[in-house]
Amino acid sequence: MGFSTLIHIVYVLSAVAFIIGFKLSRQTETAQNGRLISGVGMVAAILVTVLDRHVARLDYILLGLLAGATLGVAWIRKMPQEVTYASVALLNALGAAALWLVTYAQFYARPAGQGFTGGLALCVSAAGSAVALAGTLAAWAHLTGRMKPGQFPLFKKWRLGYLACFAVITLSGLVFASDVVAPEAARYFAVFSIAGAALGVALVLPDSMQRLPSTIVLLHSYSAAAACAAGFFLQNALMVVAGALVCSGCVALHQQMSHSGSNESA
Amino acid sequence: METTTLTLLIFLLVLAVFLGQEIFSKTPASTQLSLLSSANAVSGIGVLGAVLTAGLAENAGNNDLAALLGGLALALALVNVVAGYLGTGGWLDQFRNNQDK
Repeated sequence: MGFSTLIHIVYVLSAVAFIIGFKLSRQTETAQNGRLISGVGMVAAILVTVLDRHVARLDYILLGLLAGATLGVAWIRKMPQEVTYASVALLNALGAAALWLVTYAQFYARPAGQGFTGGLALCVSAAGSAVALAGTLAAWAHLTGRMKPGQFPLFKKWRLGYLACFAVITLSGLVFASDVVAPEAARYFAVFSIAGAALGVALVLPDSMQRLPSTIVLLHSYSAAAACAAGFFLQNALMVVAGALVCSGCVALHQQMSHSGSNESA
Repeated sequence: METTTLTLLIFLLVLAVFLGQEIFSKTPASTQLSLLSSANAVSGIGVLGAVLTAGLAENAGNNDLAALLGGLALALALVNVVAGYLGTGGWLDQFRNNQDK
């Protein structure tokens, strides 16, 4: 059995662990077990990816792992014990920033290897992570009182702006994907990233405090969609599966919260 | 990208979309936040992309700067994953104790 077969087996087991973890997280009594099973799946997936034959150097990986683990533990010690929508939003912003950096780095390093499908995946990943990054930061600032939506009256009438942002992302994304190696491709990359960030802020600012939790859930679906798209240009099946699971799940959760009014508890 | 690989990835995508919809629908209101926190930690799967980017070969094209960005992305993504999993654990214990009382 080759090492790449082992990687695929571990990826399948990790995907199963995520699914079981989600199922168990739906009940208070079993949520702790669900978190553990899901966490083991994540650690196993990270370990086999570090040992992947495509990984040619370990210096930045070891530095990144050390810095991330240290900051993560420091984060838990510093932040309040209670998990809130604000803390989840801030963590999601970090994940979205990481995805945007990965997308830009892959575009910068080897645009020639991409083609139309890879170009579209780069566009979805960059725009999706920009929406999630800007949106969750705005939601966090709103929830913690650092920003008042009334300071931006323009955004209250900005529902039409969603369509404009989507149109800009779609058009620039299509032009970008048609020729990823063109000199102006970097300009299109900037255009759909900025339009994505504007869309993220526009999704959050008109919302009242009561509606913010369901909007934060929706923003999670954008970062998960970005992870799923990144799985396409990196050709990583586990990223596609985990991203799609979380994306569709968060959309379902958002619809449920919007209809039931359960977000009043925020 | 090869057509076989693309077809396989799209096939997985479609299945995962239906599965996610099924698992997350009709979630009790009391566990929505814990499920969201788990979902956030799993969406930190971008950490795999960061590992693959940070491990790009040296001295080839623009790889050096890309690998540096990958390392930075890895640190950010790992904060999300570590704080997402460990932070939720302590909170779930407290939440259960409060419910038991």
